[in-house]
Amino acid sequence: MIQYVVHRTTRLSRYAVVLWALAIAGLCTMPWWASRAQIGTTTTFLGILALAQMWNLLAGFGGLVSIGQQAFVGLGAYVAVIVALQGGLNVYAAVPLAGIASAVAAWGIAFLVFRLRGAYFGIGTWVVAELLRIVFANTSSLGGGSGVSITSAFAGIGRWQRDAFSLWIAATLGLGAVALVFALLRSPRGLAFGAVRDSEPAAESLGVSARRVKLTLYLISSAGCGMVGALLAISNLRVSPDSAFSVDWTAIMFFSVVIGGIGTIEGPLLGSIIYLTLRQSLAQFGGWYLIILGVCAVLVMRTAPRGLWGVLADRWDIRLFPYDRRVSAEETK
Amino acid sequence: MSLLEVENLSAYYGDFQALFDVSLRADAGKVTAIIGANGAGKTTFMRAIAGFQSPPRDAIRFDGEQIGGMKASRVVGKGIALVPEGRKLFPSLTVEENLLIGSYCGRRGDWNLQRVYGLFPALEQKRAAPATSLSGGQQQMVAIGRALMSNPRILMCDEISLGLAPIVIKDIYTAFPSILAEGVSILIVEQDIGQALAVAEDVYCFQGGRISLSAKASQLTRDEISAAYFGV
Amino acid sequence: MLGWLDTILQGLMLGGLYALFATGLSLTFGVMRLVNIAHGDFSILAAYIALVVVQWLGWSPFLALLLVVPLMAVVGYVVQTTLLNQTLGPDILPPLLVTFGLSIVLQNGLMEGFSADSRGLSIGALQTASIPLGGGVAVGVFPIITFATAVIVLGAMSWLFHSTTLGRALRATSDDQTTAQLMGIDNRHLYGIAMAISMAVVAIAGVFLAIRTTFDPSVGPARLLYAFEAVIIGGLGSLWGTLAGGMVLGVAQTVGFSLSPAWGIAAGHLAFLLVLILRPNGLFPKTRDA
Repeated sequence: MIQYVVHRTTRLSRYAVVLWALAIAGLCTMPWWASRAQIGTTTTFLGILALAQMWNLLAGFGGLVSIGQQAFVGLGAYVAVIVALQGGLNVYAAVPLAGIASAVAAWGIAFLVFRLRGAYFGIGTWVVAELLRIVFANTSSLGGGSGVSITSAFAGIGRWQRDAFSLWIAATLGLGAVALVFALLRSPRGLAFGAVRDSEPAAESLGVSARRVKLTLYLISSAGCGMVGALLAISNLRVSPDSAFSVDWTAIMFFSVVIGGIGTIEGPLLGSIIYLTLRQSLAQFGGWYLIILGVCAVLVMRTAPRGLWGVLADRWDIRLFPYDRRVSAEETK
Repeated sequence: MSLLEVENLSAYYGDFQALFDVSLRADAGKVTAIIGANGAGKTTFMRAIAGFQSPPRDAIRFDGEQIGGMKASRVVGKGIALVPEGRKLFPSLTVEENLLIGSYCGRRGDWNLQRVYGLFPALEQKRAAPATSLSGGQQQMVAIGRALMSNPRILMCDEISLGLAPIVIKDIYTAFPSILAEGVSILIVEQDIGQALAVAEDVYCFQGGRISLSAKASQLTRDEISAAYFGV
Repeated sequence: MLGWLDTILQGLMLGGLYALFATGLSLTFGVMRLVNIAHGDFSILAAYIALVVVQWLGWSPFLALLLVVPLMAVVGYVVQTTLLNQTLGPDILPPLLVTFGLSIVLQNGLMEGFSADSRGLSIGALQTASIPLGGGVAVGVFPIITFATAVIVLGAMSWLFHSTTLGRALRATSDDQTTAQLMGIDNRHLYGIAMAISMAVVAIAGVFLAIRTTFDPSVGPARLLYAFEAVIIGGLGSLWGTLAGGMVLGVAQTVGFSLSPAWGIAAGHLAFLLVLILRPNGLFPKTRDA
């Protein structure tokens, strides 16, 4: 008699859990054993990881290609500025506040941009980001076009604490993003995301509201980007509209996701590592590193559309974050 | 040697095999009909000849030349014109523009707008109308005319009676003798068996991606057809 | 009152320039559902090529067009057939990402080659010449030339699409690229032609932009946004609608600028968003260029 068994994990992924636990422990204790530069790089990496996962959630799983997530990065950064300048709240409260503010803004923006489809949706989100940039650049109370420094809000906090807090927030955001996406995709909701991405009419006919799914993903992704924006402000202590709302944020997100592997959880992780490594090692060449990055993205899209992780996972059938369900048939007596 | 010779043609959609070693001959100057139930592989077969599959070179021979695997935009230049299932007129183009685009491949011959309007007079009045605003029957005429404008040696018609009233179908089929007289051979896929037998000399029946029957129309009995059609 | 008239007139003329930017974008989307994120950057590439021609050969920018436009057409054809054709398909991501990558490469490549300094092209006296219309209102000669060029280009495109075999083939391919193959139309080649035309027009736009104002490697993306806004405001699928969209955008920007220079561009964005809310299909939508 044949019995069908549904597998939701792979053996490798079960072993990997131990490794992840060790890595996270190592990460969080860094303030006590790592150098300032190393902590800084790790913080940056975790921030990029969060951004990449959020963009991947939207594009890879939701089929929505946004070129305007920088709107929320900037918004989050300015929430931090407002909190810092007001002086009433602890400046670190800006992170969750930025998430909420971004989600609210996303809800309103969706009303506009969801009227556009495909690539035009992407450019529409970019237009909104540009509009926000101009708005903040013209708001002199927040520093106007040249930006503002928020060092004053950290008066009582020492440098070690600042670095440590930034790192832990980044870890929460980066690892939290991975965990959130993983949990979402393993849930029944997760099946809905894939269904909508693959075929809206088919998904709708099964009772899945495509609009609701897309909106949900857009809100989550925007909230995540907003929180990273706040982290940015807190780490750099300086915010200017041109850098906060720069389309370079989208470039970073999409490079990491595309080169790493879109539509998987491991992909953006791998991609973030590759992006940061490339940036560190090519930084001395100035603009060339961006050219190389651009060429890489084009090459990867042409030769390995599922990214580096796609190639690896296919060759060796590795799944570190399994969220699909595999059926095997087993003979039972 | 037949005008069109297909030998051991197999076709796939990804991993799914739709045709299994199909062999068929369509002779010049004749109407050859393909009948069979839905999903039997008839349209896949037509599209394979038209150039939308990648069979080995020698699987399809046209007028002695091996054309298997040749891409669709080149096949029409060889003299094989397909009237696709569902007509597939270009909505942005008028009736006349649809006909004109048929001659894009540049094959020389006697077919031109005048000839097509002569064959289907109803179209001349509607020449400036958007093609998709015509009735089903008239759209079918445009689709056939469009294919004829490429001056083909063989005209392949995929389910031209689909969705049309019997009287309209008859109207369209009355054009066949004129087309044959101009030296164009015809290969049709037809759901209506009676119509197929009435107009064709040779009949092939497809069933489950294979040829289940091939004979002269005049020699077929109803029972033989049923058996081949349904695979009973 | 007259100030307003002047401003609006400027905006309408600016619309001609925006229509030139928008036409190519609309064309490639119509024919092959491709949105070229590097669209604006290609126009700046054309501006730099014109700069080189002007500096080395001493020609006027208008004469330089004779070299720049065909060159950009060839660039478009090559980029489409070697890089972009293979990305076309049901998934919108590959072409978006490849053109985004191209955009980054172009911007930074131009930066490496020409530095970030602002450049401009000069046409001598014509640059500031204006025609008085009476009552203190005047309109610039160059803006009129730009607008007239836009109208001529759009007219030529319309003629191409409706009266030529190539145009018919382009329309057929955009309707149904599979059936178009049955007509003997080679998609890949035709897509290359569409992109070549798109690049040729955007080259004109880039050179005119360089005459009108200063430019540097980073101004490409903003042109893409304006082109896109003009297309959406005008309505998808309509050639002359794109001119109308450009004019609406142009007027919004110039009016915005005259009210407050810092909010000029934002006014354009707001006008776009307003149209998106009130008339999501644009002002003159057509699903087909029939």
